[in-house]
Amino acid sequence: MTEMDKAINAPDAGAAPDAESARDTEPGDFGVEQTTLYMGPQHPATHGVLQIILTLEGEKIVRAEPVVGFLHRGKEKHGEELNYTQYITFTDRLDYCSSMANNIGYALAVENLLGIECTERCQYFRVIIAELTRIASHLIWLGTSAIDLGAITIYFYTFKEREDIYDIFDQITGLRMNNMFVRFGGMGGDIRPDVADRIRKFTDDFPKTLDTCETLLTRNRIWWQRTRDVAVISKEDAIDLGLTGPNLRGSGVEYDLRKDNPYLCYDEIDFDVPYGEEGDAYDRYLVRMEEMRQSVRIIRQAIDAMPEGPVFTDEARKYILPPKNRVYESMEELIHQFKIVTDLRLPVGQVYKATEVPKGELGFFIDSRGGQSAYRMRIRSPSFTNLQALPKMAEGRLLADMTSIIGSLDFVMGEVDR
Amino acid sequence: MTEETQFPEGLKERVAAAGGEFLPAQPDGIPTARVEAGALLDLLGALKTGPGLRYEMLTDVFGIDEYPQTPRFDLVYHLRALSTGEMVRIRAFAQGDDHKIPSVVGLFGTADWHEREAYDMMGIDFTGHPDLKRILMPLEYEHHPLRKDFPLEGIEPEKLFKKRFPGESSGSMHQKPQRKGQGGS
Amino acid sequence: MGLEKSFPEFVTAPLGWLVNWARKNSIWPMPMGLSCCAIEMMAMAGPRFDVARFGAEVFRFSPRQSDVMIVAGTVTWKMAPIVRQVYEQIPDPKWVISMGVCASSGGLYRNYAVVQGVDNIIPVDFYVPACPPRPDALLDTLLKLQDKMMTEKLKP
Repeated sequence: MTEMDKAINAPDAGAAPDAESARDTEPGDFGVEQTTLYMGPQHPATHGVLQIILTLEGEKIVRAEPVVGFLHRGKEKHGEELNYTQYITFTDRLDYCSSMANNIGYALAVENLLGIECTERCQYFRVIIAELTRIASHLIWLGTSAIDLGAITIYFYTFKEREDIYDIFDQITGLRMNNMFVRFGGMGGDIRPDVADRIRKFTDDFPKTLDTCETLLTRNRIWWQRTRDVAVISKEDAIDLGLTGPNLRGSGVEYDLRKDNPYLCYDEIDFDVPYGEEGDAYDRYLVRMEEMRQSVRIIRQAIDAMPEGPVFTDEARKYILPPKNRVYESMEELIHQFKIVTDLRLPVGQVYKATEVPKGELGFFIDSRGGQSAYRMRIRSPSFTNLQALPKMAEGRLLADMTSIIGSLDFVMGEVDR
Repeated sequence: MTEETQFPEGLKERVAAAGGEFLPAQPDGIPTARVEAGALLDLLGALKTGPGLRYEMLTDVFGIDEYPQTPRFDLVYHLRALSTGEMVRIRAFAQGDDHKIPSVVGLFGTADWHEREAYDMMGIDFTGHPDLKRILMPLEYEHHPLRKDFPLEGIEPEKLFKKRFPGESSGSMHQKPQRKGQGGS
Repeated sequence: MGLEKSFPEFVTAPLGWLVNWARKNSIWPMPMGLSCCAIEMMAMAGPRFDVARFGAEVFRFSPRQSDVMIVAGTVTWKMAPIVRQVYEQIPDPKWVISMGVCASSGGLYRNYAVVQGVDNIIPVDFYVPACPPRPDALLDTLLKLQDKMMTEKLKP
């Protein structure tokens, strides 16, 4: 990254208009009054239903206040009414850009409470799924934040790659998105050898598209000028505001749940976690691009190292619905089916399990009082906390930087509002 | 798989200094301590700055409704130490009939929206919060949805819409849903 | 010259037919992309499903410049006045596609915050089921919308 800096900051690179000059003016300099602009919930560049109330002086943002809640779907209340298996369907729709990653976090929390662990094959399977969804989510981020800043071509490249990932999901789970595929103690199915080959082929082809996107953006002067020193958040502010994920790492804090609190089999896989320095939008862009490359590396290792064996343990058969034909033939499976559908109770206890989803730290806190549904289901959503940094990033900037700020924060409203 | 509870250096001392007590171990291995609402700021400040392991990041603040017990709302604070990744959970009851508890926004800026959400969803009053207003429900909404005595299907959910667009016919919705396999022990 | 050699000198058609034909081949949707269905709607505009072949790739986010509002995602009661206001700003003739089960009937969410179907707020012409509908399903709906547009009369 430092060579990039040197290359772009070389004397013949051309002067970037410095945002400092925008701050040299004082309020009231041009005799402009403050206006309020409602960057309303229905807007192409707010990435969902977010309202930002901007107080402007001309083009300069004095204050930016995000108003959320337009997609509040009462998921935490539903967690108290639905039983645990039914709730898997609700966890998908949190961060809908990376559906199964949410499932994995929820299943880990429930398994912790049940006291069971999934098989090794299942762990590798989950890691592959988690990383594929990470790539899918970062591709949406890249496509939409690029198109918001005017780089329309990138949208088509990234969505073409997403279709390849969706084809893989389609073959494994039957659905393109909102797959609801993870079960307690296992998964809903297994990876066939031809699908494994398809995943390998994806890991071979995908870096070429990333290279193309990087060629178009990374040393592009327009991209540089619109993201360098924009949406800056310092290390101390990032920790104070509770940012997680690439937003935290872009500011230089070396914290990734996959390395520092490893879960599943991440400690057996060799990968790096990229960190930024300046905490601006450009660094977060570089962090996410590199994360996609590392995800490809993880997937490749996981698919090669995946051991043979069952995807769910015998113990987990008490919690996963058996295949329908077995239900009609075997008494034991019939009893399991009956018990799982009508009476799956978790022991009393409280667990909090956090996983590293593409947006940051997604945590599920389940307070179980021995019933079929949780007494309190709390979802610690990364996007909700990341969005709090928006006012700090926006103050003193120009209005046109707003799309850059929103794009670099990479939040998704399904997660913010739950 | 249940995990062992680890007590990092300085944790027990700081909790004892604030008059708190540790609760029984939970399957996730996170040490949990309960403290009085009055000592909350002292304890969180001590956990943030040390001595001992420094828990620099507040990852979550939320409430649990223990209706019909009093005190009714149990606040949970999750803190994480970025150097080691360990977490600690602090619990405190909101005091009084108006459910007050001091706001920790002064220590951790991230508590701003989390406390607003706890106010919105449960009606807990955070004293000292700079701007305690609703965040997920509309500003004029009258109820607190996550309370145990609030039904899932809501109370007159279309009320605010009808104020703005009167005379609309709503379809057949918001009838009490039939649910099988209900929770509760 | 090429194809024009086989064209007749004059073409006669009812004016209504011509207007409808022009309208159906250049539908400008206004995406009310609220949640997960918005991702599939974006995929419909993407390279594989390519809504541009039907003339509908111009996603106008301004209601004044659009024909169809695609309500893609869950409508909450907080968002409902805005959906209604935006719908009223679309000039006639306008159609509404309710994409996904959340917009059609409330979907998974039967609770205090979610409108149980956007047809409680605005009149809907097409409902696309599934959670989320495949982009193919949305394209099929677009084709059905084109058929519906051909049946419109010029004078009321």
